[in-house]
Amino acid sequence: MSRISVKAENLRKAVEIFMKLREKYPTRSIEVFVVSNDDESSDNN
Amino acid sequence: MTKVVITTDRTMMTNHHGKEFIGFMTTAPPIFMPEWLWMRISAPKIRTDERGEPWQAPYGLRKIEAALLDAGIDAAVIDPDHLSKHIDKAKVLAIGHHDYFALGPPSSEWWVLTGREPVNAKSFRKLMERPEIKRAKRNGAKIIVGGPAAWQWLYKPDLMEKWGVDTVIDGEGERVIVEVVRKALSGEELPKFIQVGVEDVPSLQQIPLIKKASVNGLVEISRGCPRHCRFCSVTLRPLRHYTLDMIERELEVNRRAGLKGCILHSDDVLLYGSDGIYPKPDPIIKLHELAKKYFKDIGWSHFSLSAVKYAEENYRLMSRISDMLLEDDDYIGVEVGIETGSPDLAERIMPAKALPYKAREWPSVVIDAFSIMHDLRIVPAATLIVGIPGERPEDVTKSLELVDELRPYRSLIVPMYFVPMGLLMNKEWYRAQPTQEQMDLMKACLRHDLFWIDDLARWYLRKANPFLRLSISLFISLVKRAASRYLFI
Repeated sequence: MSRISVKAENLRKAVEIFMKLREKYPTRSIEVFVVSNDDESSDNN
Repeated sequence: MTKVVITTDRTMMTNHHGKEFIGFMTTAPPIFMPEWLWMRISAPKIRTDERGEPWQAPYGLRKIEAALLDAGIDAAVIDPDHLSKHIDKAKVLAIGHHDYFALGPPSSEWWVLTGREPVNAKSFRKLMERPEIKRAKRNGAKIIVGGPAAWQWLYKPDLMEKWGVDTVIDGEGERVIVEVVRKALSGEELPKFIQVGVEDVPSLQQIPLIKKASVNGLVEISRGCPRHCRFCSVTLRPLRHYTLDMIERELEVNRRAGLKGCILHSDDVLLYGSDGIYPKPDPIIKLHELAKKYFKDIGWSHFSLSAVKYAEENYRLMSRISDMLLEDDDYIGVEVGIETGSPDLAERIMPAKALPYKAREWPSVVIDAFSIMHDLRIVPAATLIVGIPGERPEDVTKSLELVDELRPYRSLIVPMYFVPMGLLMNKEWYRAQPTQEQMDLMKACLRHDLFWIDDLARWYLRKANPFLRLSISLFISLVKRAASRYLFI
């Protein structure tokens, strides 16, 4: 099982995404990055 | 000067005068005394060497230190008053805490009831606003935070930005911290948030052993819990028992450092060596024989009440281990969870807590376990959860009735506000003013505690230093007077 890895456009979005993911996957590894505005959000999983 | 500085604030970097239970005072604001005195009682400074390394440090920080040292990374736990010695060379500040913002139990409850910020949150804020931390950030150091209160950062994004927190690690961090610190040292991008899931949790063989002494000699014997209570975060972790050899190596570290006692830590010490919810006598006896080889004073962190009842009724195990540890006039303390006196609520939120007994028998399991411990001079410090989702007034009344029935048994009972963790992490936070039933329950707990407090204080403080003995005695008499005057207790 690989780690769920997600990018968010800012800190607040990162919090929001992280909270949703941990509720959905309480026992999976999750990492959320904050990227600069010119990067797009993506899900590597 | 170390590259990775591991630290925390004064309410954590202390041994509470060698009295673990005094540490609970750091979860409250100062009551009946000035803050400096409250801090001196609850969180005295710890002795350090010339580098600023404390002679005892919180066990969780010692584990992170051990993981980094095992990976060949230059890391050390540093006392917050000695950060300036390391800060110019530090590339990473790793910070841990039990309750960063006083949002956990019981801090949040004291905050609501008194309307004042507990000293743990205040002390942590002071740490983060120290000039040394700001200087480290200016020099490009990365701040990584973790520990059991890591989840609290999700509610404080403003402070993450203000203080420049780079990464939050939520969960067992010993494997992940090595990866994140390596990235930080090589200038790679760091995740803002990490949840450590089963794929990254260390296996038994991957759990590093502490290299330097832990606060009050605490050593872990097991991790995880098989009971799966819905409000608990530990339940999401796999159950692992340390081998006796692993435990012995950590006991040795603490004895070599000069500690005189140890605390055996697990979410349920009585399940050490078991493969489920049935205590096994042989591993428990061997564990205590081992600890006795190293220390005269041995403490426990947590028991489950159903395990107390089962272990005594089937193997006389409680009698056997208390005979091993206790001298004639002594008591020994342990934390236990009652959580509710309502069989309905027990069935819904903690269906396996009573096992091998039925969830509906929970109140009688609690009473039997308290009775067994009272006879053996084991003193439970028990928690009750107030405001858990789905709680009805009649559930609170059942808890109140149970507290009344526990009156004959030497113990402390502390009501704690519900904080969303474990499988209830998405539920609403309980921060409202208490209802009448909840107030009655809190009063019943206070009445119970005041009934036993003199007996317990006499035992707990008999070997304490005169300053601590006098301060706590004075505090107890002030609490009694206030309870009588304002609450008619």
